[in-house]
Amino acid sequence: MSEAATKSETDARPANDTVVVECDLDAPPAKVWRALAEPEIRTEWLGESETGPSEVRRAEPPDRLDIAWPTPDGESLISFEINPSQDGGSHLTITHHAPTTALIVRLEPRTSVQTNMGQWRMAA
Amino acid sequence: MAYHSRMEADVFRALGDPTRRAVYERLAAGEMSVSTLKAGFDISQPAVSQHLAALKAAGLVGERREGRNVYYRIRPEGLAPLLGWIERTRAAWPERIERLKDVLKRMDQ
Repeated sequence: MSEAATKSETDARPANDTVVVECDLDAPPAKVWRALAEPEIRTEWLGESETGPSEVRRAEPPDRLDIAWPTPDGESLISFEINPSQDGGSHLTITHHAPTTALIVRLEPRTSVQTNMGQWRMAA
Repeated sequence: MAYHSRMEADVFRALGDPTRRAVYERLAAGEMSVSTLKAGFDISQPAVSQHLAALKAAGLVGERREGRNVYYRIRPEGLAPLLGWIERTRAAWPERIERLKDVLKRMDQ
């Protein structure tokens, strides 16, 4: 597969206090898994938090990895899901939760809060 | 976190407690008094009041006095600091993904 075929589009959308980013990668899932799961490779592209070392919370090869990312407000969870794409590459879904997320606000679409949630979506 | 703000920290902290978060969520149903609010919880009225005070301090909840009664309601604009987190987080990912693509190109198969 040529490098020119690499898709570079990314999409980010908020859902409550979560940011979801999806992208297509010109590499097979096993290779993407290594880039995510091997700490030294992961640090190379993801970097490290200023607050402290990040930590793997859940590793389910070959497609699911959760990382706890320390922030001044507590842990922020980053979940990765790798899916094979038809062209032999990978589709990566990244779900980045706000530090509160372990105990996330599940606001039903009702009352005045709905307006606010609407604004979030528009801001996307 | 270079853009970390005080307000944001307050919101995260206020919603970080499960009971307080539950109080906040219950208030999403509409304005209510402490006693009405307490009815749904297995905690004392002073405890509910304490959670309300914390939510008020973080700007998440407002109150309205009517004679001797006080009613509490959610301030939707109080969640705005979360929007700041979302904006910054969204902005950070495209660059990370470009770096991931570079790393993948350099890696052995």
